[in-house]
Amino acid sequence: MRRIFAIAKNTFKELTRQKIFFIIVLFGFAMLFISFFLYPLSVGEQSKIIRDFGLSAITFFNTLLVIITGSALLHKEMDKRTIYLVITTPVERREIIIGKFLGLFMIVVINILGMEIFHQILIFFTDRKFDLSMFIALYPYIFEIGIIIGILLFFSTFTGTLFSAFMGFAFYVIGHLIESLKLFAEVSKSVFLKIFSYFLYYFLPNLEHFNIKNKVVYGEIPGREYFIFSTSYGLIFIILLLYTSSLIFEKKEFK
Amino acid sequence: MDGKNIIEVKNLAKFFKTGLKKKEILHSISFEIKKGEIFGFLGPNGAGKTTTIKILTGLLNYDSGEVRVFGFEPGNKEARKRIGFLPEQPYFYDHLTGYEFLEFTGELYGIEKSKLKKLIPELLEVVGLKEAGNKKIRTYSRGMLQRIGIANTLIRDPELLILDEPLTGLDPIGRKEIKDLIFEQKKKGKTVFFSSHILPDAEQVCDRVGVIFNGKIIKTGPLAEILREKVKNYEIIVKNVDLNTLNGFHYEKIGNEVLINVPEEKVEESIKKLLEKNNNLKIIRITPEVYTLEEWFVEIIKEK
Repeated sequence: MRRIFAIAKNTFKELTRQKIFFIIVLFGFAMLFISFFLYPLSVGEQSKIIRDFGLSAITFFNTLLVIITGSALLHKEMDKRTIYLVITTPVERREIIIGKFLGLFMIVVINILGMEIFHQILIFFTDRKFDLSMFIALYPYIFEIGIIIGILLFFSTFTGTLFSAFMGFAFYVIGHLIESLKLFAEVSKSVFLKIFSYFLYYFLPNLEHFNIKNKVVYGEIPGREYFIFSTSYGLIFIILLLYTSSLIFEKKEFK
Repeated sequence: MDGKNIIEVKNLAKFFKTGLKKKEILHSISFEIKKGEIFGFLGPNGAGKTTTIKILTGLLNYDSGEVRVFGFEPGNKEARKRIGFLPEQPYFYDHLTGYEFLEFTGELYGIEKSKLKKLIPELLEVVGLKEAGNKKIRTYSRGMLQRIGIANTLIRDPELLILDEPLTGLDPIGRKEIKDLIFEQKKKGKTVFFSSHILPDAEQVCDRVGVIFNGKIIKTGPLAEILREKVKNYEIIVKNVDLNTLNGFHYEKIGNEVLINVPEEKVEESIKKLLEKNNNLKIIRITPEVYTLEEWFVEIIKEK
């Protein structure tokens, strides 16, 4: 456990000392701030606009942060050969995968919390009260982020940075359009496309399961069953992705 | 595995795929490293030194043969616990300071934080980085990087040091310091396996060497024995010699003595000739002039 924590801590330090990290975080906060100036344009809808825009900015910039930094997480170590120094210590390779995952995951969770606190301040200036239900809206998103990091790590074990980033983005998009994929499968006349679409529908993570932003903005908070389901669904995918990444990484050669 | 051998390599072969073709990088190589010795793994660039080292440390798999490190398969966790490894032209986490880097690898070895607090400043001092410990690694010079790498290999006081080209890129002072460190480790009973293509340095440090060329081991053995195998010339030092009798000889007058250089195959004949022509000749010494490791290496490679 201590070794995993050491790798997570090093990943955390490495990412937070990168310029790109600060640029994305800064843009995220700037976007939130801009939403504050949009509300006079939407008479009567101010509260909803600032909530909706804020949550979208938080999820967009954190997804961007994860795809950009997460796709290079393992590659940078392999390209710079720093991985040699880690792999030749008594560390298990799966501990490297888990440590890397936790390092980036911790950063994003902290960033989401930081941005949401800032969002709350903006809501307070608009409504003269905080709206803590926004934190509830972001809770399932944390598992979505975990799945995306898992996908990026999985592809990083056997492909390059760009391809990993592309696959992370593709899974993100498909994951949110997966219900349309089911509809497509139902109406498709080609047997191949039907099977392929059903395959994707049942085997890829449905990221819409983690999207309750709109409901929460309109005051609909899902029940306890939803949170148990989304937590379990997220954890199962994360564990499966980290497990398969570890299996591939275990066999990897470093030329 | 012989209990005295730390590393045993038997008929090791390794192939790399290049497109559809398979290229044999290591051709059935065999050698062993004994406990407490400094073993120099020598060969020109591209000979297969780094590939062998990567197999020993578990960074690469091997295709056939048998490899044991402390009796384990290479890359085994128990073996890794007992090895300190310095890769060729090492890269470090340049966002960290020297201290933070050693703290990180120390944690990977499971060393307690309280122990690290005491150990890291000591190590930084040993490798001459006491002042630079709190500077970011990205500001380090080539020599400083090599030193922090050496400090990293020593952090868990390993039984075996595997150093891939540890002297490359260092100035003479830096090379001397690293060589002194290697000797110190030997004094402590540690085993050192290091690769190099800087032969004069290797000659000063090694007990035994293994020479690899084109993926094949062409010689292993104690350095002194290897060098004695090939004699360049014999030096005959004589007194009371008439210089007029030395026509055809390669000689040099040193005080009242004369040093004559004679090829190995002509020693007997030359001595007879000298004795015939000089009644009072006194032979002071006959010594073989052996090759330096570098000269020997060049000769062997030319032959191959």
